[in-house]
Amino acid sequence: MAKQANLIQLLRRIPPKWALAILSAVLLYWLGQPILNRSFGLSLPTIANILGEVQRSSETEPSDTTATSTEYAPIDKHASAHRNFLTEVGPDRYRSPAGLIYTRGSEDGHRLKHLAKHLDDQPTRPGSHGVFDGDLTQVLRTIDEAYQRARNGDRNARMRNEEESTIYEATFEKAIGYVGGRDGKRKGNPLTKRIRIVVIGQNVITAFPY
Amino acid sequence: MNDRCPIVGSCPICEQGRCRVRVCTTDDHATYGCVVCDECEATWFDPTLGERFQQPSPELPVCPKCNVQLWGQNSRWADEVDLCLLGWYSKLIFEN
Repeated sequence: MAKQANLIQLLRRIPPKWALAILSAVLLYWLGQPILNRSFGLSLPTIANILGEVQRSSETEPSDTTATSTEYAPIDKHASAHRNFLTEVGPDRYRSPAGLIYTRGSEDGHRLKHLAKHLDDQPTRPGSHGVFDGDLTQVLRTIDEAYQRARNGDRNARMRNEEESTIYEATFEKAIGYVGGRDGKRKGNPLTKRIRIVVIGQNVITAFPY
Repeated sequence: MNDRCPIVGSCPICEQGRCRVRVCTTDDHATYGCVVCDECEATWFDPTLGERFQQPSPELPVCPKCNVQLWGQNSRWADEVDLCLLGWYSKLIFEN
């Protein structure tokens, strides 16, 4: 409360000319931020995000020591890497060109962070762990293509419903990754052309080569 | 979660994840268990995997019994003691 009172007092002291200049700069940033991000692949935050961050940090500063990594932290570098491909449609909420949605969730905090775990092998993980070739943007393109092919009835793709989940599977002409994990290691980490995507509604839960 | 965490079995939905027991503690210190796939988050009421729980929101999956957020502070992967207390120890597989 004391901080807010100080801020109001400070704002009252600003001459009208300066206030107008600050307002103009904010307006300019508000209009230009999405264009700059799209045109130059930048990851400038929205004003809402900036204000949200300020509010969050002021709220959690004194007692945030108990927070765990599984809490819904905003995605960081992974998000900026594929801003050209995904459209931000809400706080930590992204939509792909095919209409798939990537939101907060999973043990990793965000679906994109969970997908990023499939960029590397986990050789000690029991069972299989599908590992994608390429970076996260390439993976998102692969997922979109598989999803669209399955929806359009491509003969090398299919979909099935498992109660609330829909499972999309597609086979590509070239390998999209390999089979990792303990089972994959035992088999010599074979390359694979197949992807499986688990979706609830339009929300991607996970995707991996298998 | 470590790789030696006991499992119920492979996930019948995504066929890559492992179904594991998640334990929640409510504000009144009651403890509940459910089974969750560590890959696709499919959730069941118990290790028989007989009845699957329909999550109200994919963004905030919750325990089917106590409504605690599955990835929140009051929920964790079960250890051997938890499994004994839940009476589920004999139903789990301990992978090497």
